[in-house]
Formats: sequence, C-alpha cells, structure tokens
Amino acid sequence: MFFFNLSGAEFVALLSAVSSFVLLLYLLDRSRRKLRVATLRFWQDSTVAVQRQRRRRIQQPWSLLLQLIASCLLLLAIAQLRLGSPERSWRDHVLLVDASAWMGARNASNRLLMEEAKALAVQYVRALPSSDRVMVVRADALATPLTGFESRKPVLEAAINQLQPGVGALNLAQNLEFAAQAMRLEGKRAGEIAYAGPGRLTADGLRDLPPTPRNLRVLWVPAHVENIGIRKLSARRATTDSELWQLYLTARNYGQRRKEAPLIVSFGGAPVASRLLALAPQSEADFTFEFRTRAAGWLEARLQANDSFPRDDSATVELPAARTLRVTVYSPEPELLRPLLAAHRRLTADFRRPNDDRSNESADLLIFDRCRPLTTPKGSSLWIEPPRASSPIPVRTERREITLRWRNDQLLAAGLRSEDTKLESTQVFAAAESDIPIAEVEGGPAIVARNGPPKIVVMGFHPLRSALRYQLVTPLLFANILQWMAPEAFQRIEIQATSIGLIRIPLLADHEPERISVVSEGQTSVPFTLRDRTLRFFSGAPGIVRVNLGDREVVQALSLPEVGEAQWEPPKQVMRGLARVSGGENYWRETWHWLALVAAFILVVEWMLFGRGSSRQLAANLLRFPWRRSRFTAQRKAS
Amino acid sequence: MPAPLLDREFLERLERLTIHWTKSFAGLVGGHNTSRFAGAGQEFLDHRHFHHGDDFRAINWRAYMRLEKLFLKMFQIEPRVPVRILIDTSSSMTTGAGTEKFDFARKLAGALSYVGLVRLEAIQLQTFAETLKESLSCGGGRHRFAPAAEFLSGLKPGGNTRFFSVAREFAQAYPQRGILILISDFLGEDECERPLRYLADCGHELLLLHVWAEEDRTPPWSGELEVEDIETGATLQLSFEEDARRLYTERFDAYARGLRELAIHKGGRYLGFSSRTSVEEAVFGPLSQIQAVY
Repeated sequence: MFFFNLSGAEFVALLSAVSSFVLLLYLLDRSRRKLRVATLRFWQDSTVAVQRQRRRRIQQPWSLLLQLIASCLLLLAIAQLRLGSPERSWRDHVLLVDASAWMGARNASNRLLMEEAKALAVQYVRALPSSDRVMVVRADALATPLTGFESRKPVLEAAINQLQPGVGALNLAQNLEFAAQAMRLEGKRAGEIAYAGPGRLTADGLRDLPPTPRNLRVLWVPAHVENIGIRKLSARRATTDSELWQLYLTARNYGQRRKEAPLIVSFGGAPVASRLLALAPQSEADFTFEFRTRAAGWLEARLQANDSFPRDDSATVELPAARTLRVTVYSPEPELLRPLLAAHRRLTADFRRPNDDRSNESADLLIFDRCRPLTTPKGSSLWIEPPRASSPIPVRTERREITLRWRNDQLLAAGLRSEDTKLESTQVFAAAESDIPIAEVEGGPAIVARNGPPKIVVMGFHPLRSALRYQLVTPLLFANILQWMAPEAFQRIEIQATSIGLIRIPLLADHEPERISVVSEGQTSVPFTLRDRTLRFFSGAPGIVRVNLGDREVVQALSLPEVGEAQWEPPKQVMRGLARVSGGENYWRETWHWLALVAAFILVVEWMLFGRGSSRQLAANLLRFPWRRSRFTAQRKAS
Repeated sequence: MPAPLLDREFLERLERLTIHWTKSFAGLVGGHNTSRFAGAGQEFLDHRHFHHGDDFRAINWRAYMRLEKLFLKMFQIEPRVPVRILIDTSSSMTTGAGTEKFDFARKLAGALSYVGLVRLEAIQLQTFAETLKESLSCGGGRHRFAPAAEFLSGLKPGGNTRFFSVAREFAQAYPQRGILILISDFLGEDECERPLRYLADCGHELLLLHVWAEEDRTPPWSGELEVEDIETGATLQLSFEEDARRLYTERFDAYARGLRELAIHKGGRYLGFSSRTSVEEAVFGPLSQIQAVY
C-alpha cells in the first residue's frame, strides 16, 4: 500500500489541516446563533440556559466523526492510495526502433521492414503497464532519442509512427550503450531495453558488438530479402590523359542466391558503358570502366536489379570539367620556354613578343622574360631577369660567378637538388620578411616568391640561359612554381559516391595534418583522424564532403544507403517477442475511486441525518445519545 | 402609490356582513339588537304619567284634551353600541417574516371596521403599546372607511406592551360599555390575563383575536441559540433541540388555551390566527363560525 500523489508526511499534514478546518467549521456552524423573538416566556419554560463555557462543546459527535471520516477518505483518494508494492510501481524501458537504411527494404509480403518494426514497437508499448515509462530511440548509425521517459502511450505511438528509414547502417553497439546509459542516468527503475528490427549490421558493427545486456528484449523483424546493390562508385581522371575518366564500382549481392543484373553507366543521360554483373551470394565485386569527356555533368550508374531494396541500385556523382592553366609568355626568345611549358597537358601557353598589345589579357598566369609589363598585372606573374627599374621586388645588387643554393626548407623548393651550380651572373633581391626565398646566393636571394594576391615569383637569372639549362632541377623548379601559383589547375580530383557513416580514405604518402582539410557542403570543418596512412571521418547525414590532401582532392558524395552486410543473431538467453510482457496490467490496484465513492456516501448520509431540514428529526431519533435523553428528561422535570 | 389596505373585491364581500355581539348593553343599540330601554328616539314605545320635570314636548296633548290627564309619550332610544378595536402596535408584532404579523393585524382591523361602518356602527380604532396611543373615531357609512384605512396604513409598530396600564387607561377613557375587539399577540412585559379580566368586568364584551407568527409558535431554529426579547432586550442563551421545540409549542398552545378560557369565562370570544392566514379566510372562516361577523 502506498500513495502515488503524496508522501506519508504530506498526507498526514494535509489530513491534520483538513481535520482542523472541518472541526473549526463544525464548531462555527454550531456556535450560538443570535435571534430576536417576541417574548422569552416560552423559551424559558421549555429550555434550560446553558453556560457560556460549554459553548464549544461538541453537540453532534456522530456528525463530526462522519465528516472527519469522509475527509480522510477523500484525502486518501486524492493521494491516490494504491494497494501493492511501491517498489514495483513502474519501470523505465528504452525502445530501440531500427531505422537504418535496410528498413527501407520490403519483405516477402511486399511490406516495408520499417512498418513491421513500427507495428511491433507499438504492440510492445501497448502491452506495457500504463505507468511504465518508455524512451523511444531511433536506432541507426546513431542513437537519436525521440522522447524522454514517457508514460503517455499516444505520445509514444506518435513518435514511433513518425519513424522513417534512414541512410545509415545500424550501429547496435552504440545504441545499446546509449540505452544502458539513459537508463542509468535518467531511468529510476530499470526495465527492459527492447530492440525492434531485423538486426542487420555492418561487419565492423558485428565484430565490435559488446556482450548482450541481460535486460535486452528483441522484437524480431524477419527479413529474408534478396538484394543486389552498389556499395561504392568512384571516378578519377587518368594521370596520363586529363580527358579520360576511370570509374570504379563496387557491388554486392546481399541475398542467398547468385544474382545477375545489368549495369548501365550514363553521363548526362547518355549511356557510356554497360555490363552484366554476376555476383555470388554474400559476395562483393569491383568493376572498372573508362570513358572520355572534358565537359562537366552527372554520371549515373544504375543496376537494373528489380529487387526488394531499390535504394542502392543507383549511384550518381557530379564530374567537373577538365581545367587547363592559360599562360601568356612575353619573351624575346620564346623557343627557350616553349618545350618546358608544352610538356604538361593541363597547361596552354601563348607566346608573345615583349612589345605586343597587352590590353586583352585573360591568362591565368603571365611570364615576363627579360621584359617589363606596360601596366602592373592584376593576376599572378612570373618575372625572369626583370629590368632593374621595373622589378616587382627591388633588386639590391648583381653578382657574378657565384654559387646558387636551394632553400629546401621552403615548400616551393621542395625536391630541388643540384650540385654546386655556379651562375655567371644573377640579380640579388631585397626581399621583405614575408617573402619566400627559393634560391639564394651570397648576398641575398636570387629567386623570391611573394604570396599575394597577386602571387609573384621573381628570378634573378634565366634558368634556361644558365648552367641549369640541362639539369633536372629546372623543370622541377617551374613545376613547383606553377603548382604554387595555380594549385587548383594541377590538383587531382577523385569523386566517390559512397554511403554515410565511417569514411576511410587511404593516403598515398604521409601527409601533414595541417595541410589536410575536410569540409562539408556548408564549408564547416569535419573532424578527422589520420592513422596508418588512412584518413577517417564520420558523417551521419547525406551530403558532399570535400577532403583536400594538397595535391589531391577527394569529393565524397554521401548518397548511397549504408547497408549492413552482416546478420546479427541474438543470443539464446535474450528475451524475444511480447509473450512475457505483462498484458497491460498494473503492479498495484487503484482504490481512489472506491474511496471517493465511500466518502461521498458518508457525506450524503451525514447530510441526511444531521443536515438542516426534515432529516433532523430522523437524526434525533436514530442517533440520540442516552446521556442526552436523560439530560432532557431532567430539564423537563426541572421546568 | 402604496397598495390599498384591502382590495375592492374583498370589501364588496364584506358588505353583507354584520358585527354581532352577545351581551345586552342598557340603552344602547346597534347591529341587529333592539334596545329594551326607552329614551330619545324616533320609534314610539309607550305612555306614562307625567311627572314633574318631564319634557313638555313629549306630552300627548291629544290624550289630555280627551281625558284631561297628562300623559307622556315614550320613545325607543337608539344609541349605537360602540365597537372599539384595539390594535397592538408593540415591537413584538414585528417578529416573523417581515411585518406580516402586524400587517395581518391591521388588515383584520380594517376589515372589521368596514363591516361596522357599512352597518352604521360607531367604530373606534385605538392603538396601544405601553399605553393607549393614537385613535380614530369613525361611523356613518362605508364612505367613511377611507380615513380609517389611511389611519391603519400609517401605523408604525414600536414600544413595549403593558397590558395593565393599557387596561386602566382604556377603562378611564371609555367608560361606556361596548364590544371590545382586541387584536394582539398578547405578548408583553407583564401578563395579560388580569387586565383582560378587568376589562371584561367593566362590562365590555371581549372579542380576543390572537395573532401569531409561525416562529412565535414553532421556532424553526435549533442548536446553540442566544434569543433576545425584542421588547425588553433581555437575552437568554440556550440549547434548543427538537424536544425543546415541542415543549415550546406546547407551552404556547397552553397560553392560547388560557386566553380562550378567559374570554369564554367572561362572556367573550377568542380566535387565534397564524399570520400566514389570509384576512379573507379569517373573516369568512373562523370569525363567521363563531358568529362574530356573519
């Protein structure tokens, strides 16, 4: 027996207050009433005056007793007295409803697995005792609580019914941990952790699964689904041909039977490749394609599988247009630089005489070979042996017969090696502190870069007219400078359509973390880790994430659903189904309505017996005390 | 405009009634009772011998011419029997619901006045409390009822009731015997039996009309009470329950019986009315049954 609404102390305090109030009302009601009458003659004859000190004595103890009993019963009803154990008054449960991508599949009866799971979850909620509290959690790659611990079943059912399949795979370990933690932190009396779903996990998720909690109940959704789908689509430009795209596609057969399905790859709506995929059960295979284009457009790979889970039958990526770096060279000897600039496919060079019209320049980069521009260039520019008076970085002096040293500590001079190179003559620049020295001689830098905008590189000597002409360091020097001045033109782009969740990108070499950036569509940084030449980050929502590795950019189009390839089998000791859930019964018996009825009955009886009116006579006859009868008899005799 | 004391229909019904009394009053007439005494009047009664000092105008000269003896013509006297209506205006008449007890009393007085006026009786309306208060004499027909109604309507209750002083003053003020209609609750500082007996011994025929409010006879209250006499201000604290109420009513009824016995013993009549009784019902009911008016 316990109170639901009040504590024992509160009940006693309230009962005392109400009893005092009733007693006060009772005494006030029975206090002496003042009346004006025509004569006192008959009053004196028929009654005996009472003393003032007896004024507050209780005249109708039965009435007071009945009122107090009724008040007590009403208070008990308000306190919601329950017969049973307070320790088992309610329990808190966490209901994990699987909303992973796999829940969008249809079963043999052409019904979504999500609907099956929701129906089971609703049945579970309805089967619980009315006072039990349930937290509904959307379980996919993350655990997202949809409600707090809530006992109102309409609220819980509304939360369950709004669930839709997501795009991630189920991370059961994380969801179970969340449920246990929620129950530990917020739940008062631990109940069950109920999981409604088919238990489709990733291989990693199955491997990392912790020991099953003892209070786990599984509402099993049978899912015998035959499915073949795309797991990954990757596109990258060929290193030898900037117009050639190489496509890598990974497909998997999730079913139990060998399956064949035609794959059609189209670009901008036009088919560019097709193949018949044949996959053994529970197997995965990679396929490669190639096609050539310079234009930008959408590339779509579509599997015509006609299976129960169509969401992974197509993948789409956006391919950018091939970009070239336009270079305008003003040189009196174009033949010196022509072979060097013609060596790279992403670079187009326009050679002009130093005195040519420069009004319609639209180049990405200007090279001034031993000449000066008529107007200061607004874009990036490379100056080779500029005239002393018009050099963008002041020339301090000129040196002859001097040895050149490379500043390999600078990024621009990375990889530049040469044996003691002696220059016949070179300009030495008065570089500012923020300028980047690439090569220097005694007395100062001979090649200086100034970070813009605009970016400027000044060479105090002409590499192709010096001792460096036939050395490997010369094209490397130009490559470094061009890549520094227009990095986007030389960056390799790799585009992947993959699923959300944990993304792994293998790195070709060790990268410095500060040179790597991972940003989402909204230009917000995404946390990542680097370990074992692998970059890892997690994305819980569909979208595009760009990973900039310096010389390489990987665009992750997170559009494919993440489908678990492993099937979790619950241990035998785990509770299953709804059979053992108590059928909506409470752990106690409510008594408040009976208490209220009895109190009302007592009040009615009290009113009939002692209320003002004709019932007064009945009360006098029924409940007259013997001592009062004798008092009236004595009064009569006295009168 | 205030409501009339009695409505017209009721007054029309009253016109066929007459106030009756049982006593004979020497030398007085009124109502339907013929006087047995001779005196100044219109109707011839008898002859007698002339005596010294008789009125010459009453000598029958025709008989003297024929018989040469002086005979005196005697006529039936026609003095009216005074109908005096005493109305209690003490504070005790205001108890009950509103002023229904006092209203009943003056309406009853008005009805009896009208009956008397229609029969050409001499009506004396006299109020009293500690002593006799204002009064109004009226007679000579129904058209004289308006002043009487106005008089009754203007009465204001107040003061204590002292029957001894009232009886004494009444006996002095109205030595001529007559019918005395006393409308009162007969509740006052002192007892009323002896003053009433005194008035009856003075030769008045008593018609006691006892008016009480329901709460005067059966108090509806119960529990702890502090009752105050409205006239004297005396208080009494008591515990009043059903037994006491029954005892109270018995005492009241015993008091009313005492009044009745006194009236009958003195040749008068008694009637008791609850103030909730309508005046019409009282006049055409109990008053007619005891042949006070019919």
